[in-house]
Amino acid sequence: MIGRRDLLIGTACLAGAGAAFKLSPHHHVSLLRGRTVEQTVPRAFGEWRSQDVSDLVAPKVEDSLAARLYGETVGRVYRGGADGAEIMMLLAHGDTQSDDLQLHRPEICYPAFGFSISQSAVTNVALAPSVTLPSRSLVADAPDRRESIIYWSRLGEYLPLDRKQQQIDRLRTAMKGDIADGLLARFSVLGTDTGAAIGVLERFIPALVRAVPAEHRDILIGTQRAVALAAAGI
Amino acid sequence: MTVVISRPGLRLNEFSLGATLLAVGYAALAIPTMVSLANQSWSHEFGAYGPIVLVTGLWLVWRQVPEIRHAGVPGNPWITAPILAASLVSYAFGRAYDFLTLETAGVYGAGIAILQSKLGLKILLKHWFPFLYLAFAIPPPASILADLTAPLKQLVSLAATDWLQVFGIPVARQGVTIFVAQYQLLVEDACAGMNSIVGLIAVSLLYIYLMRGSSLVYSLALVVFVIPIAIIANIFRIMVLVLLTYFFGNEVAQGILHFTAGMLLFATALAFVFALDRLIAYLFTRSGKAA
Repeated sequence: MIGRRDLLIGTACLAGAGAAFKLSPHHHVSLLRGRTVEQTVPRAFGEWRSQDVSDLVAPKVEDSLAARLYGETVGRVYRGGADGAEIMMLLAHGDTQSDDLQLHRPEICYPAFGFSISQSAVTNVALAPSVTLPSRSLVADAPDRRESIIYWSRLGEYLPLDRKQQQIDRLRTAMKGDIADGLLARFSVLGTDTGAAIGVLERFIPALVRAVPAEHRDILIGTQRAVALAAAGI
Repeated sequence: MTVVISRPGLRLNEFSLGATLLAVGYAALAIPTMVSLANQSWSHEFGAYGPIVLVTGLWLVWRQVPEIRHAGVPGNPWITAPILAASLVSYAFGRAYDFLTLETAGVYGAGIAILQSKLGLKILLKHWFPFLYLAFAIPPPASILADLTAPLKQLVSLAATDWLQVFGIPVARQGVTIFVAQYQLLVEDACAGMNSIVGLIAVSLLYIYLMRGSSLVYSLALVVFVIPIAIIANIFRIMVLVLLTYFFGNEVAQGILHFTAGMLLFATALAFVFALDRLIAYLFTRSGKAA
């Protein structure tokens, strides 16, 4: 009797392990398709020229979180425009988004580096009259520094706006059997005049996205919006 | 027993086949989870207490094996089945979709279901402590932990700088950044050590259990005290870090002493817990004598 009961429980456990394996997503999907973010986003376009910088993610720390999280990070400072604006860009790409390794959202990261977030709002950046990009704008304050930030995150084909949504999108992707890639695109301007800074960013971001060849824009903004832009003849 | 005597061969085969399959089945659940735990939780500072809890927990169980085995009777399958079913669902979902907490809880629950089946609920409840203690090996969800510790970080850096100012150390604070002389310190997540609260609760419970036996009220009372103790120990740790930076420079403080300060935190907190336990025990015996 006891032996049979053990047999049943053991079989159930094996079935549980099997179900876990069967349900696990195994299909890697990366919109990069073998490219790098570095080569996709132009170093110079229109009125803008850039310079590479390496420590935009975080101050360099050995064995840092950033090194574990992201397969590729591109940090650049773009300068240009009539007023000589400076825009810091960070693009961080991770091939595999899991619970342990996933995009860290700036509203969580900035406080960890001593900034306090004084404003956080959802904003739709107009890429074209008919195409908007769901993003978040932040104002981060440190003792001698104020940064105005616009960023968005792409998880597979989703563009989650906060951590909870990111979790849900990750789960939805996994339930389809896919392991998606993730991209964090963060743009910031220093200075106390927040309104002007956000204005510069709202001009810069569409220009940057349009400067990327149409067939590779999905790396930044997902397939749906890349197609919409192309359909609008941009 | 009579059945075993009349058909020993068949019984033995069925028994060993069942036991083997049970062991294989449970290993198929537990081993992949162990690997995930080692990679995702135990190797980080916030989960470093995990293996300690697991090993000491298994040791506690093992200590009681003779007694449990002697008194155990096969449990009611109607209790085993729902525990096992819920555990396996939690396991499969957690493992497939990357929720380590659910996955580990599933392994834990399946283990409890197996023990229930073999030994019965009564004996497990009688020896509840080791099994409850083992539940601390389940890593709490990272996001909840982060939400809980964010305000504590503020509190800890606020209190640390306030106290240091009293002693005339030139220290200032903005958010979680601390300035001392020409240096700037950041109370980072991993460094705030608030994550060690769970580990501290577990180790304190172990201590109380070994010293005082499994008293539910006493254990609960201690857990209530452990949280403020962990906060005070953290304030102490930050103060030590700031003082080290002030007197010996940033290099020293961020180097080996940073790690030592982490150990110091745990040791300080444990010392507080031990002292508190002694104090309570002393007060109890005194009031006992008075009455």
